[in-house]
Amino acid sequence: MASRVVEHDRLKKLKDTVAVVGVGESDYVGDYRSGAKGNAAEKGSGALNSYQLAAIALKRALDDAGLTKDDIDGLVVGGPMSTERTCEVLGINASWCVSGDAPRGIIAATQAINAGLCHTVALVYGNAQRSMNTQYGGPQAMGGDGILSYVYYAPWGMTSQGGLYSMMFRRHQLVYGTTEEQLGAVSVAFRKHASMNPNAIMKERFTIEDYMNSRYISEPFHLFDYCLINDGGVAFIIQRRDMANGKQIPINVSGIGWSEMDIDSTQLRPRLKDFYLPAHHAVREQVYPMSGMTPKDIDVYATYDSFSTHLLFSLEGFGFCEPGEGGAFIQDGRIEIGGEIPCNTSGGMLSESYMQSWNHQPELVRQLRRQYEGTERQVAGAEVGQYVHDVAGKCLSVVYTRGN
Amino acid sequence: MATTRPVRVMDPFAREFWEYAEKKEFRMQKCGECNKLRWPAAAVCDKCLSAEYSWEPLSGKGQVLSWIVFHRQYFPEYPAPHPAVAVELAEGPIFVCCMPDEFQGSDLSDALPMELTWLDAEDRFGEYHLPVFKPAGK
Repeated sequence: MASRVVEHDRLKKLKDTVAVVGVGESDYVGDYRSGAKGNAAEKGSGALNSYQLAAIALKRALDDAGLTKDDIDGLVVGGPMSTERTCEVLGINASWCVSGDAPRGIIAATQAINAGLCHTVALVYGNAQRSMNTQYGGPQAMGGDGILSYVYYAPWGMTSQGGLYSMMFRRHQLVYGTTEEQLGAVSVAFRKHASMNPNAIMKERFTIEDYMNSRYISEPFHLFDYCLINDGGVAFIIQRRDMANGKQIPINVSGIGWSEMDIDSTQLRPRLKDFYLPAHHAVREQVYPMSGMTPKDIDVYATYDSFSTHLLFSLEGFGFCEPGEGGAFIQDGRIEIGGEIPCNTSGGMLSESYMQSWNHQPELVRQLRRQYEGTERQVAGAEVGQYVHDVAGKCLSVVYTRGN
Repeated sequence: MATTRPVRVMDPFAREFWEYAEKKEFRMQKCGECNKLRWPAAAVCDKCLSAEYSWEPLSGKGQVLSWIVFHRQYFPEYPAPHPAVAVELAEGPIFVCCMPDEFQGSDLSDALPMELTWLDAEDRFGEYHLPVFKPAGK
């Protein structure tokens, strides 16, 4: 296999050239609790629309940044929305526009701004996945064409994405002796963080005993290892660093990295044999040297968390602990606010909102702005934040630092 | 009457795999130039991009790499609890499948020897035989 390109000199030229200057999101709780008597909204109600949710988030991000729509000249569109319809609904004639999830969007925006194609990029996401009853498993599982393993095994009754991650965790158990009790620390910590977040959907704390007593969905995964399914929108603004108006403390994009492991992915080889760690290692060799940081410098950390195990594997992959030590590493409050490496401090996709990589970015930005100062949610003295994204071996990362 | 199962992903190369399966022959594509076995079926070898291949008969032997048990029902055809197992074949590829109904997740362990068997099956493409694995000798 060809060796991975690591052009440290070229990457370093992009360090701190762009910054996040505004963030916003929809009312996750209000939209979720819109069913009768404040119960969860019915799946498939059709009550909300993805573009509507994205528009709400964008308006809030612009207000947060002290910018107007006319300042936007680039757009990244996430979720099930098309670029054309998004630009039409939002009334933006962009000079640069692509589709992507949050980390792909951040990397693309960094490149586009540095190439001089645009200078102020809105990254917007809206997903009415609960209202639209989007399926992530079973006969109508989405993503089948893009990620074959999600649907290929339908004749054998295996299409669930949770099932694939549960199978990966079972392998980790077999190789390293990791236990379900150890894994439970992830969902317990994220729920604790959500309990401090007014916009988190699931706020009721639970214990490891509650976790162990919760029902299995795909054994060894329990209910609490799974993310939510809810409607929502997220937006943030990335601008050329030297143009930031100073309304907010700019949060610099200081490191970026990207590496994929797709060979034999439908066979689940990179998942079950390698836990995708080689992809993590490759990204580590980009994002840390570029930002000048190491795991020891990260004050607040967020990982994609459609399932609890994403955290376990990413901490091993990025060198916070050794491969196989993740189960022991995440114990004793180490991943909680106040601990050594606070992770998913908004509650993440397990407990705050399932915004598919998008809700993690505003949370890291607000932590580095110290916007929660005076509350238990604030990570004291946060200067450096990291987001790690690993979705079926598509691994990306962003290191943020607090600007001056 | 064969058991109806969730529909297969079908394309010209998958169709060839299932044509062998109809005869209870478990085969995978072997590259005509570099000999790499590939699964699922595809147009070219992912190692050397050769479009030349033959359908290599496999031993039907393997061992357990991992497994799960669905306690939530995703398909009416597969009521819970429903185990799924990843079998590392003797020839190298990893094959993900279910087991005959009489086997449970609790019958499995790391590296347990597994062997091929066939289940009756039908979907909108027609009747066929579904290759699955079970604990060897059981």
